[in-house]
Amino acid sequence: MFVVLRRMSYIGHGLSHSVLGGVAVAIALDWNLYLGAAAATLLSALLIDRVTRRRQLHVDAAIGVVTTAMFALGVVVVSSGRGGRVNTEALLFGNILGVQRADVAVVVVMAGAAAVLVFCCWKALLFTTFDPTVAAVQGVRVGAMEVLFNVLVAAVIIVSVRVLGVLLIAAAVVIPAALARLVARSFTPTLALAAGVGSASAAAGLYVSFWVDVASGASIVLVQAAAFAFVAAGTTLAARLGLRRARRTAAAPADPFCEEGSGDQPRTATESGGSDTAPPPSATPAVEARSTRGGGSSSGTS
Amino acid sequence: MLAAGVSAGYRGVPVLRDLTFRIDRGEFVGAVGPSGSGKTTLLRLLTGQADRFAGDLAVFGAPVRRGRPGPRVGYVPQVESVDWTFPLTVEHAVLLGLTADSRPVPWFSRAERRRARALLGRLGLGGLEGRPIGELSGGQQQRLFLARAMVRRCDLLLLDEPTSGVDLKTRHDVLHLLGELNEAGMTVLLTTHDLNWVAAHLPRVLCLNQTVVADGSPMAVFTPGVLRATYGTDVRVIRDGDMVFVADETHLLRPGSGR
Repeated sequence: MFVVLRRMSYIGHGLSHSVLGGVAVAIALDWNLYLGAAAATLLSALLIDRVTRRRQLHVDAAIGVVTTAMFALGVVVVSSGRGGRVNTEALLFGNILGVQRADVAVVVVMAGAAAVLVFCCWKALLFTTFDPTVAAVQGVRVGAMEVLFNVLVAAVIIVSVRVLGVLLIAAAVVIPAALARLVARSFTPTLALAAGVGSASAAAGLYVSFWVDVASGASIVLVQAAAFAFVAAGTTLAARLGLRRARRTAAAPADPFCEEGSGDQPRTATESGGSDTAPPPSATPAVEARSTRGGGSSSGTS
Repeated sequence: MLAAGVSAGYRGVPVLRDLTFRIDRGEFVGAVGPSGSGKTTLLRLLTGQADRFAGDLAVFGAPVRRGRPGPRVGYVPQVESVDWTFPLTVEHAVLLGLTADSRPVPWFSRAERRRARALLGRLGLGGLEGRPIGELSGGQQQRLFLARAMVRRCDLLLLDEPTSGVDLKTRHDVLHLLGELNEAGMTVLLTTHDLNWVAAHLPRVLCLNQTVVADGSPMAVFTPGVLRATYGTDVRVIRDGDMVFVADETHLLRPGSGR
């Protein structure tokens, strides 16, 4: 949620790429994979934070520089043969069947820790996201919140990379929040909706992948994208209907508007008002439509 | 507020040089100057967002450093500085101002909410508590910022261009509000481009251009000489009794006008 509000949607995409670097290096050095992934992602997150603090660069540039470098590092290690045991495909596209009991434990622990941190720093995170300048003036430790935020995103990436894969993680971070923003207008409902949509679409996606026998990560993302498309279309439609309704209600008492037009062109207005069948040649289509619509609705109400 | 020989800027590049002034508690001061003269930097300096290279600066007796804003300082930025589509309600946006002193839980206490509501009512935003901030008008947005600054105890208000981009009525309303707060003991420092607004309403003006060019009542300060030194161009100063007007030099485009 915060990611989308901070216009950092691509940080998920970027950080997940650096996971590849971390995992490849970890394998080459014979470390624990999670350790490698965590180290790489955290390092990238903190580097992004540092680079962004230079005023000349925005966060998108920082993400682009840092995480592609980490990704390239991973590719170099893999291609050198030392990371030969890396299952590149599983890493890139996710594989739920590779998830083991230990992975679940890691997920649970990290999710718990993240939840506690978010709970305690909720207001400060929100204030920092909305208006970092004033937050700093009003005593919020903005720098610490930026770091915390990046660490949290890194944690999300690390725990979900097994299932979703490097290339698909951005969707899991961004789509539910983007969808919620289309619908809800205040913060708590937006967040609740984002969390709900995220969990529900993950479950639905997994079922789809199980029954249709396709990749788990991709089917989750497709379910989410479908939900987003549905909601986007729905809100657009609702806005259209609302606009039409507003126009109709505006047209009913809009007689002064018509009179204003008749003041400019008295003859045209009386003609169009008198005969509906033969619109005057001089009337523009817009004026014509407005007057007929106004007439129609006013007759309906009377 | 006391500044003595302050030189400040960003990343080693000074914007303000040898700045010396003193603002006493309960004063109402307007800072004017051309774009790039350091008005905003002055406010940023006082809120701990700019680097100080030399000199001393203290607010309420406490030195101000980067990242360490002065105590009891409220900052009201320009309304364009945030994303108004952000999903927050009016009340919540004000409550965020209390974050640093609030308990580490995601919600605000009943007492805090009461405080925010009372303040919103006082600033003429009563009844709008539950509205999304994006539905506010420009003047209401400015008052929302004011409420957010004041919800945390503050005795010095810093306002960045509160007169720019708002209509005449909003200007009047904001001025009245600031006047009332000032009567009640609040120290106010604001920046503006509107010289006549300053001349008509404020008791004291600081003319800035990298440093303090002049400091005093508008009547004393607004002279062609001072304004030329501040803005680098000629303006016409019209005096009528206890009023002073600043007008652009006329006929700049007429042939033979020297341009």
